Amino acid sequence: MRLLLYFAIPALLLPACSSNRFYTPNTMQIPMLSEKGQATVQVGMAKNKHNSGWEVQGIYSPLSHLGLMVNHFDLHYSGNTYTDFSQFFYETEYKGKTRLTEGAVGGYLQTGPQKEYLISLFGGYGKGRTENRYLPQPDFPGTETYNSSWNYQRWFIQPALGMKYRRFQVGTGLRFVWVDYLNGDINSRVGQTETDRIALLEENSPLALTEIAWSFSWHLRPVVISLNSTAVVRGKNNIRELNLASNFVSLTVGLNLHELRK
Amino acid sequence: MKKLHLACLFLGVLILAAACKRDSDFNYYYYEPADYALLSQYLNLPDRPENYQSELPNHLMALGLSVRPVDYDKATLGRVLFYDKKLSKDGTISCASCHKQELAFADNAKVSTGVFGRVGDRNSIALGSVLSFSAYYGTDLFGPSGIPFFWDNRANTASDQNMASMTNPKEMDMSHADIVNAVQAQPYYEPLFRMAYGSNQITEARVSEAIAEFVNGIGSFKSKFDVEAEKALGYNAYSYLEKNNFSGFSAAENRGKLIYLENCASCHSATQSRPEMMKANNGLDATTVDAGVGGITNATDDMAMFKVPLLRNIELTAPYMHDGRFNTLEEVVEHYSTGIQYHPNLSTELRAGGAQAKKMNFSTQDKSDLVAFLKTLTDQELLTDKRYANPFK
Ligand code: HEC
Ligand code: HEC
Repeated sequence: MRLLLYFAIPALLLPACSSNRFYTPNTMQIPMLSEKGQATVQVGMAKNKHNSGWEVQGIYSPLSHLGLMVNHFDLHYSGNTYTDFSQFFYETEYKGKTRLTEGAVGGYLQTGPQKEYLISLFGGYGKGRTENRYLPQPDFPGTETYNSSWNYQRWFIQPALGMKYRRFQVGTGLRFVWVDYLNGDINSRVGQTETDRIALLEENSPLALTEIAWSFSWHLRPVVISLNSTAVVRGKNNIRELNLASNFVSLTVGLNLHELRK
Repeated sequence: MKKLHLACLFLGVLILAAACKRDSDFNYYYYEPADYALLSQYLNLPDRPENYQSELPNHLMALGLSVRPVDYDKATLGRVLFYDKKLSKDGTISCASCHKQELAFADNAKVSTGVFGRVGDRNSIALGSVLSFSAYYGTDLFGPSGIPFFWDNRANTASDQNMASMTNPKEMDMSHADIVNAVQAQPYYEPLFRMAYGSNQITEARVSEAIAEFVNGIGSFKSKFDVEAEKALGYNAYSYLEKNNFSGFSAAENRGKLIYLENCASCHSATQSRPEMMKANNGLDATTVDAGVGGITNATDDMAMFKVPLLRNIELTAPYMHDGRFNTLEEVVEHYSTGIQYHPNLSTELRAGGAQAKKMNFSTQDKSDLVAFLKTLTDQELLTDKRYANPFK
């Protein structure tokens, strides 16, 4: 238990990176299901200088050992990027948003001397869309707002481990995701540098990424308050150049519906 | 536990689905689709601007040439304006009427014909005679060492030059208001101006700047001469032109090169990069017929002095001289061989000391060798380069 905490704290301290242009992981939902009929809905929030996002996540067990999960993720972000207009390099400001809706099915098991461990394995699929707007550069009167946008789909498989200790819950999980960029419309006036990066993204699609997540929750029946961090563990070398957000931190408030009914 | 198996099966299927590779389909566009559709009704423009920046070969870079940056959007707009006959009083003449791509942007008439059949006074200057107007041309960027435009050097910048052509009664004969109105009336200019200037406001200064940008984007440096000079540069940086026979040249071309270096390079440039002097009298007439530079400055010293042209693509740009008096290169060479006239302003390079015109007295062999060399200055790529081609449908 204590060991887990030591590992987890650095993961939470990582700031959410501002370069969320091409992909940002949503909060990994770590199931805390232990029996049939349990259901949780949680809403999440993430906000810092460059990001503001919200999430809704739900999980339900219709049969013992079987769980269903839905996640929705919506994020707005802004930042600066270097690119070239015609042949001139400049720094330009961008604003973007991304959203993702996905569903998953999985199994879970409760074990341990005090039944405190919750092991689960889920797999899911979802679709998303990212839209980026590059704002005009005041030094170049010829520049306007340029857009790039694309649709993507995502598969994932996530083995996770939850632990309950009095009012506290700790969860960790790995998520193997395949982000597949389907189609996009990219205004190449965003500059060669930027279109090169986007082309790299397209070339490498589907991106196979490994993500790691932590969540720390405080359980006040029927409410669960959690701090979550999900980080991309970068797989391939060139994924570094792809402008993926390395990390996403959120605060969520959940409601255990089954605890309401009792 | 059965359910767990079921779940595992589901995961297995999922992995398989994720593992198969689909091709992403990203559509990169430069013009907004509606803009491009509008442009395409009238014009054959590529779906994004071409690169108009001259990337000079090393043998020219080695001379310390600096090239001004060219904006691709403005050059693209300029290309359309360059070919647009709407920019002339009677709608029949564009810049390209007197500067034809297949002739290295020269005109094959002795003197060009402008609007309403009006005949001009001088022979059109081949825009392809120049290495690149973005190198050394214009006093705006290169100061007093910037080469001026026209046979009589009367325009200091590419913008001054094209305004003069547009408003010249014997060329396009447009008033300043006419220019703006003509451009405003054409629907395809709205998106082109927006792309180039961020606003669709059409002004004569922008029209002129865009044409200048296109003209600055024209460059000719892929002739046989350039290919060989590039190879030769490797083994002797300083005297590679004189010392080495070019391996890809014929014997005649190599002999012609030496004759050229000895008799012509002191004015026309050994490297065809920039003329050695801004103006000269090359002994066409004993008396002043066309005052040339003198007509602008009124200085006696400038009478019958003319721009020293670069000779790139000279094979294609007949007739020759400011008045188009010579029809062939052989006639030109004959002029330098035996025909130089003494004029008080005759350049010292062409004098046999004192008040005497020089006679180069070339042999028949010399003459044909020299002509053979001049023909190595032809850049075939320029003639069909689609970046410079007529964009109108
Ligand atoms: C009616 C024929 C005609 C038209 C139309 C015309 N030109 Fe010319 N151009 C000439 C002639 C003739 C000269 C040489 C005139 C002189 O020097 O007095 C010339 C010279 C030039 C030069 C000078 C090159 C140098 O090395 O000095 C440039 C550049 C040029 N023209 C570009 C243009 C552009 C751009 C347009 C359209 C706006 C244009 N011309 C329209 C005939 C024409
Ligand atoms: C004193 C400097 C000088 C020398 C030396 C000289 N030229 Fe010229 N050349 C000029 C000038 C000036 C003009 C333009 C004259 C005019 O049109 O009034 C010209 C024009 C030409 C033209 C016509 C260009 C055109 O676009 O119409 C050719 C071809 C030419 N020279 C070739 C030669 C050759 C070949 C030699 C050597 C045998 C040579 N020149 C030597 C100054 C020189």
